[in-house]
Amino acid sequence: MSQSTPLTAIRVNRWLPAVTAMGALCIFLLDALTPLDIAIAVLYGAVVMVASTFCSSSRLLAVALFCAGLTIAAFFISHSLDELDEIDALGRCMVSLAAIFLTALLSLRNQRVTVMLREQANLLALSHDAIFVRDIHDAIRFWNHGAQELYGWPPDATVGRNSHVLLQTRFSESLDATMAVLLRDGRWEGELIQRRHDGSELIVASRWSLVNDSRGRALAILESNIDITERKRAEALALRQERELRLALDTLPSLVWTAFPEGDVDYANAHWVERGFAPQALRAGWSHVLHPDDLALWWASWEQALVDGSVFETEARLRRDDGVYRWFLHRAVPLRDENGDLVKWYAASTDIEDRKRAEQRSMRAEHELREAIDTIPAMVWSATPDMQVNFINKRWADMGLTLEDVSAQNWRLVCHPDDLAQMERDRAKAIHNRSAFENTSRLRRGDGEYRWLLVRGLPLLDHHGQVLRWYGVNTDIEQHRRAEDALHRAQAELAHANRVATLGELTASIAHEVNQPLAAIVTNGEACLRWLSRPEPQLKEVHSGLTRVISEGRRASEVIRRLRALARKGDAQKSALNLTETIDEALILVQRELIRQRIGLQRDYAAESLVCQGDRVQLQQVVINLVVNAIQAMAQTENRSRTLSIRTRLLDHGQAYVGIQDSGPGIAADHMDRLFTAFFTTKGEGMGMGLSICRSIIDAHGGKIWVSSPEGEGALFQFVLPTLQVAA
Amino acid sequence: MNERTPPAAEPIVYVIDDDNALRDALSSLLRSVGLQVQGFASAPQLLQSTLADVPSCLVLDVRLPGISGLDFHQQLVKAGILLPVIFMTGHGDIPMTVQAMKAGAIDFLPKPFRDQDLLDAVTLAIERDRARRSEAQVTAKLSAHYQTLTPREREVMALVVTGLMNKQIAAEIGLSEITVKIHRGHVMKKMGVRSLADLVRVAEMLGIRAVVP
Repeated sequence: MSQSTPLTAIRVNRWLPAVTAMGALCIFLLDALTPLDIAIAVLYGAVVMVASTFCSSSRLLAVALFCAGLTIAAFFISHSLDELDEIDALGRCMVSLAAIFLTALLSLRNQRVTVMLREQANLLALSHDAIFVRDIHDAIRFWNHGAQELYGWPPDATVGRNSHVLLQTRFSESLDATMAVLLRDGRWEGELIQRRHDGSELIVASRWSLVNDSRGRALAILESNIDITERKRAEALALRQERELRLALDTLPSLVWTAFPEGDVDYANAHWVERGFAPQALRAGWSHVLHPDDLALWWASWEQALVDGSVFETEARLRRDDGVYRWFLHRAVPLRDENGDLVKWYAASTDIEDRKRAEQRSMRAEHELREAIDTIPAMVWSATPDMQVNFINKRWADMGLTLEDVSAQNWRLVCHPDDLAQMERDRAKAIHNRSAFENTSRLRRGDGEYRWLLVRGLPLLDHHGQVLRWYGVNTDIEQHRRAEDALHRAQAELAHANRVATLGELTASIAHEVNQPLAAIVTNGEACLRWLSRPEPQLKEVHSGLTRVISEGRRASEVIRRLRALARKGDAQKSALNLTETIDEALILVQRELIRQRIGLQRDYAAESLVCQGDRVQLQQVVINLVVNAIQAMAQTENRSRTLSIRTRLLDHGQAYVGIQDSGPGIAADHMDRLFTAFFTTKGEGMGMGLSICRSIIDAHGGKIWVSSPEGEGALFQFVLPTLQVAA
Repeated sequence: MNERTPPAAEPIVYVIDDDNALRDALSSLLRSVGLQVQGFASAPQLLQSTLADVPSCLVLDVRLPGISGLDFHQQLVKAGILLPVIFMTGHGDIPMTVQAMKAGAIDFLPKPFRDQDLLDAVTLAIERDRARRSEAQVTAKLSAHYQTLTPREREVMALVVTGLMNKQIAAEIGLSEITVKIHRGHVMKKMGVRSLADLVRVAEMLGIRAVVP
């Protein structure tokens, strides 16, 4: 038992049972062997008492019976049978036995009480709470394991010491006041600050109980302490945090509030006041501050948030104290307990009045813009960066086209098949270059008729240069196009008329060009006949004559072919052509005219070949017109040489340059400006169309024509044309 | 083309045409009838070459590079080259024909022409040149005779061919009728004529005009 109760105050000497047995033996020897006629066996009572300190009740009973046995044995040893009648001796023996049994009885009772107390004490000792008992003078009497754990003091070091001194206890009031409460109420509860063995401070929740004796006198005080240092610290921290949070919330420049699940506001931060709202009005209920028109939506949203368990968010107007309503965005997040039940709403309201107004303004502006876009007499569209049309204005309906018709899947069906390839190219190029594009295509109307449209698109770029959107306008140019076509036809006819007229002026030269080979053919033929009809036919001469006939026949047909080309009436047919060759071909037709007028021709051609995209006949017409003009300008030149210079060059920026200069009188300064206008002429019989036609031809080829008249050097007509490629 | 210098006395035809093909054709045609031909691409080429002293003619296009055939013809005349000229034209315009003929052209052939026309024209021209040449030889002889006359004799001759009587001549130049008669006899003798009619013809050939006061 002593081993199982290591912390009990009662200490059992391990030698005690042996000593007790020895004691019993000594008594027995004294009783049996000494002739003393006294009741030595009464001393067995002491043995039983001592044994009671370490024996269980049953063993104690056994010890008592054993002692009684020894007593009786000693009686019979010291008294022979004959002395049995000795009343004194028997009386002593009986007294001794009675003393032994009484002692055993009392010890058993005492032992039961002691065990009970000890078990109680053990319970205290085993408690994890720090429990100690001190007497009325504060000397520690009992110190449990929990106390040792908490304070670091072992029981040995504490028993007998003043607990308040040992633990340096500080009271929230004072020791006397605390004691007064204890004595009055029999118990006290409170917080104390104490120190451990190692000097560290701790806060304990302390419970004192007064232990009274049966007469109500204070015997001892049971003090039970629980370490609440951490809890206190956490509480302090939480308190501070809450205070800081509150401060933060109040300082926050937004409207913060919390509400109970059903929506009643329980807190509104200080900013509400600053913004002109009374927190009490909020707490009084939303119907006091919300705009009546927004109430229904508000509660509907609230219900929805409650049902969904989601975030509450709605826009609603709140009335300030001054009666002014402002738009707010309200957002509330639910706080839930561990069971998932909604405890509270944490919410913030953001003033969105300005945004709302801006929205309304922009909606109005957008509406107006949309109306404007729908009203302007052009087909407006916008498209994604990869040019998928995603908006068209109402004008498209005039053409019977819907957004569906011009979608990425369908627009090719609307575009005229002949224009599709170019459209695809222009789109692809624009997307690739992220640059504006322009295209002229026919689009099919809802009724199936194709109309010419000028399609123009412009990219909206972000600051990285990426296309955000394409915006475009399609303009119906059908009428314009028809007028243009008519103009082109008129121009073509005029150009033809001009060519025919020019050819007429060149009749003499042209006749010569045709006649010359014909004359050569006839003459050669006749010569051949004569060679053949000689007495000795000269076949060698005949052969060379016939060779000349063939070559001249070809020459004549070539001249006629060129003439026919120039006299041909038809649309421009552009192809890649060598500009220098084209000029030379044209010069053949005017060469005779130059000879006839005794004009020297100087050709100064570019080393590079100049390849242009153009209509050969039209470009030759330009050259012939300019040369004929030059010839006519020099007709009156008598006092100096008549020279026509034709110069071609490849300019740095890839343009072909042609300059045609005469040595005539030049052009009067006041004629320069009007030179290229129609019906302007300085010649008596001229129509004034030649240069005008030259300009329209060069313009149509993407070139430019101009004239200068350097002092004393005649007129210099110059034009440039874009080249296709540059071959060295 | 045959460019060799033809043997003396063989007639030669000069052809000026910038068109090689036609020039060759003409050359072939003319050679086929046995004529000597010398071709030139331009007028200056002809002027720069030495012309043979044989009966010859010139066949040229009215339009030549740098100079018109008519102008060139006049240049030749001015230079004393009296070749008979046959003009060819691809485009026979009337004014030019008239001008050409006035300037002494033998013929004017619009291209294309019949071979016979050209050959006839050439033959005629060469005959004309041959005649001109012989005439020129006569004139040269008379001219040489004329050079032998004294100034007084030339004076008397000029007046005689105008048909004046000796007495009238004497009065005109202030000499005696006898002296005039002697001068007249010298003139007739030196000029190799026997009659007044012959003297008048010679004077015409030499282009002598009386200086009528």
